Amino acid sequence: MKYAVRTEDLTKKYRGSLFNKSEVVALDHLNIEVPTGSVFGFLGPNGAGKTTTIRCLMDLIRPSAGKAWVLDTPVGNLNIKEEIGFLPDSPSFGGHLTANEFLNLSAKLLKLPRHEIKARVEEVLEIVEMKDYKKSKLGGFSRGMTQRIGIAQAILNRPRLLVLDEPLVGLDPHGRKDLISIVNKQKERGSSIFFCSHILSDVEKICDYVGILKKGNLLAFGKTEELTADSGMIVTVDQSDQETAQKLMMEATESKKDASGNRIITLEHDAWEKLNNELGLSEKDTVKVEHGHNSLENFFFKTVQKEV
Amino acid sequence: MDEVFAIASSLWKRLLGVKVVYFLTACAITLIAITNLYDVLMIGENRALMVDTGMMLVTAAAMLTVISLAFDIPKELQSGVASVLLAKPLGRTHYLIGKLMGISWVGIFITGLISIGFMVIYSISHGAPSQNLVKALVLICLSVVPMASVVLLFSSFLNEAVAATISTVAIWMGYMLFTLKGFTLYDLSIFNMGAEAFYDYEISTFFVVKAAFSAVLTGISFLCITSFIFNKRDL
Repeated sequence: MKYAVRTEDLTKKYRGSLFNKSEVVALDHLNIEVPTGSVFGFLGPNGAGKTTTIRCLMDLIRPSAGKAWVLDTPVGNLNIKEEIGFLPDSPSFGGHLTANEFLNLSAKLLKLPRHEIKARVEEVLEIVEMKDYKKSKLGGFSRGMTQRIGIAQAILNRPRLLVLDEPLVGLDPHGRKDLISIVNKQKERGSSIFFCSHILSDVEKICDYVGILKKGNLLAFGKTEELTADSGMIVTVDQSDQETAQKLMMEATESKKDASGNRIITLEHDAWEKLNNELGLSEKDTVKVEHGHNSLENFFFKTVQKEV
Repeated sequence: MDEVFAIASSLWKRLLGVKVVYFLTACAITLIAITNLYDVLMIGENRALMVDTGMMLVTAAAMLTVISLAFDIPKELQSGVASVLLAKPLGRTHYLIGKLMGISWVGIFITGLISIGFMVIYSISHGAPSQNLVKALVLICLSVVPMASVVLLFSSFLNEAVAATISTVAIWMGYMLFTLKGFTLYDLSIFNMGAEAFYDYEISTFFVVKAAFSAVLTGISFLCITSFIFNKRDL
C-alpha cells in the first residue's frame, strides 16, 4: 500500500532553557499511516503536538527519534517537496511583496517551468478569489486574505500532498466553504490531504481518516465513518412505561425527553445486553431500540477526556 | 540556482524598498560635500578631511547595511516566513546563500552609490581622484562580503538584538586583528586602506585581487559554519 504520510515512532522532545533543564515531550512515539489519495484530519487540543508533527513532516524541525515519510520518501528529500503544498498555522509571507510577487517567488522556489508561472499564478488567484488584490502588498491584508494567499501558494504546484495546518482559522463562512470546495477538488485530482483543524464539523464532512492526538500521544486513528459509527444503543421508552425508563436511566450514558415526553436513553453495549437479559426489553411494546451514530465532536470529546 | 537568486532578489527588493536607505545615502553624500566648507578651519587641508570623512562614511554604510541582515533572518524565522520558504524545495544552505548574496548586492550597491557620490564631489573640488583612492573605495565595497558572512553566522541562531550586537563586536574585532595580518583568515583590516588613500601611497592591483580572494574565501568559510549550525536547528 502507498502512503501519503507515514511515521514510525516519531518522537520530538524539546529541551528547556540553559537554566531549566526539564524536557517537554511534544510527540511520543507517533505511528500513523495515511493512505495515498485520502483526506486525513489531525485533531487534538491545543498543545497536543499537531503542529510539531506537521513541522517534522515538512522537515522544519528535526525529530528526536523515529522516522517519517511523505509520499513514500523519507522526510527532507528536496525533490519530493516539489510535490507538496504546505500552509502553516498563522501564515506570514513578508509584507513588502505584493500577492503577485509573492506567488511568483513561490512558483520559482517550487521550480515551476518559467513559461507556466504567470498563467498558473493567475489561475490560483482566481481560485482563491484574490485576483483583484494581486497588486496589493501582503502587509495590508487581513487575516482571511492572508490565509487565502497561503492556500494559493500551497496549491500552486498542483501538489500530490497538501499539508494544511489550521486552514480554516481567520476565514469567514464563505471562505470556509470555498476552502472545503478547494480541498474536495484537490481530492478529486487524486491529491492526499493532511489537514489539521479545530472545526470538527468541517473535518467530519471532508476527512476520510481521523487521528486524535493528546499530549503527543495518538489516542485514536482510523476511518472517520468507523470512529463515528457506533455510540452504543439508543433506547426510546414510551412515556407510559416510567418503571422501565427509571431502570434504564440508572445505567445510561445520556438521557433526555423528546417532545412527546418519551425518554430517549443512550446505553453502552454491555449495559444494553445486561438490561435486555434482565428485563426482556426487546419484547416490550413500549421500548424501541436502534444503533446510535456518534458525531465526530462527541467522539473527540470522549477520546480526549481519557487520561493519557 | 534560480531559487538562490529568488531569495537574494527578495531581500534586495525589501531593503531597497525602504525609503530611509536613500535618505541616509543622500545624507552621507551631503556630509562628504560639507567637508569642503571647512577649508579655513583645516588651513587648506580640507581635501584630507574629505577623504577621511568619505572613507569613514562608506565603511559605516557597509557595516550598517550588513547589520540589517541580523534583523532580517531572525524576523523571518520568528514570523514564519522562513518556514513557508523552506517547506518548498529550497535547501537551508541555498536559503543562506541567497541571503548572503542578497545582502552583498545591497551592500555593494549602497557603498558603491556613496563612493560614486564621493568621487564626483572630490572631482569637482580637488580634481580627478587618484587610483589609490578608487582602489581603497573598491576594497571597502568588497569588505561587505566577509562582514555579511559574519552577520549571517550570528543571525542564524541568535535573536535580532543579540545577533546585531555580537556581529558589530565581531566586525570591530575583524578590523582590530591587524596585528595578526597574514596569519588569520578573518582579517578585515586588509579592506581598510584609509591611510594609503589619504597619503596617496600605492595600493597594488595585486593587493586588491588578493583582498577580493580573501573576501570570497572568508565568505565561504563562514557560510560553511553557518550552514552546519542552521541545518541542525529547528525552525
